[in-house]
Amino acid sequence: MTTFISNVAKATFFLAAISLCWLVFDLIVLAVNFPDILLFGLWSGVAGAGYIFILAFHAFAFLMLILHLRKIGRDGILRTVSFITGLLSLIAICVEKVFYDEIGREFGAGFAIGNELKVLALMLMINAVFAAIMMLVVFRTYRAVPEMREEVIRDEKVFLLAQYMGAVSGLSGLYLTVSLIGRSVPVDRFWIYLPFYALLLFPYGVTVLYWLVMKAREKVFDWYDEKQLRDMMKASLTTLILSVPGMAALLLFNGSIAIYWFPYYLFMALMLFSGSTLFYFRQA
Amino acid sequence: MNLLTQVLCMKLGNKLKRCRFDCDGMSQEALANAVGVTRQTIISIEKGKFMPSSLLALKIARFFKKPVEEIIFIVDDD
Repeated sequence: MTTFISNVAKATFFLAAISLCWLVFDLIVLAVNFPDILLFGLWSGVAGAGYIFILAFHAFAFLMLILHLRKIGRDGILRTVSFITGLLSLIAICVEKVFYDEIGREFGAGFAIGNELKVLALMLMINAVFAAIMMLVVFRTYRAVPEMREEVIRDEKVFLLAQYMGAVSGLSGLYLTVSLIGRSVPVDRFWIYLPFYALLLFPYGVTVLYWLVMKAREKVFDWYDEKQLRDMMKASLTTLILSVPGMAALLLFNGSIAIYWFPYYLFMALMLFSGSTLFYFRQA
Repeated sequence: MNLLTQVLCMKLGNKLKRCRFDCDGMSQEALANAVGVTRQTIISIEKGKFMPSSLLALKIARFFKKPVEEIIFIVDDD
């Protein structure tokens, strides 16, 4: 039974994290480029596919809440809030469907759709709140069931996976930023590329979230073993040293750098830290 | 050779591999799980590339039911 709850909790957490990332992505696309979704453009497929995850998340979330009700006596208020938010979230999905159709029709006919977009954003936010609450429920479940705590193993695979993801995400983000600077893309068009950045960070974010939920049951001091800690300290120093010439390289660009320094630094630091952690960890 | 040079020339040696083999050919992963570290840490200690903390050294010694210095010891780097 404990293994079953643990598996349902993990699936719920994963789906909640994916749903949350997708909802943020959807809200950004709606804010910066809503005609794309309404006219079935580049991002509409991604936005539509997200509903598969969010529906699966709702199914697992309600199963999780039922198991929580049967297994754990306490946290009654959290459970009640989760149930109510969950029901609201399900209603919100139906409203979203209606609004997508309605907004698409009105937009095609040339009517103003500002208010409808606001309602749509509100519905998406209800979904996001439910996903966040369910992540909290999973945390609380892990803390409440002692047998689940014992399942924790010092799993270096997740640690390694997070570093690989970090290195790949960092390298991809750095490449995208450098290409945007190289093509002198104006700053006002930078926001259009935000969903790309979100997608690049997405796998790394999910892995780190998974790592955090595994480790939330332990004391912070026990999150890493002593070699991992030493490797990360060396990687931090390496990142600090290499980021200086890395940032200096930005001065070589002739055009305006403006806001691009931020993603440049973020992805460079991510790539250097994850890459050097991997290097030191593998050095044995 | 003065004392400082002697100290600087010291290195940490270990018989971790030997102990594992004596313990029914225990795997690195099983030892890692038993003392609460990653397999990579055990590999690094066996190769002499990572110096374990005194706590970890004591944990390993307790696991093999041997004195610490029988498993992890100082070797002169001549």
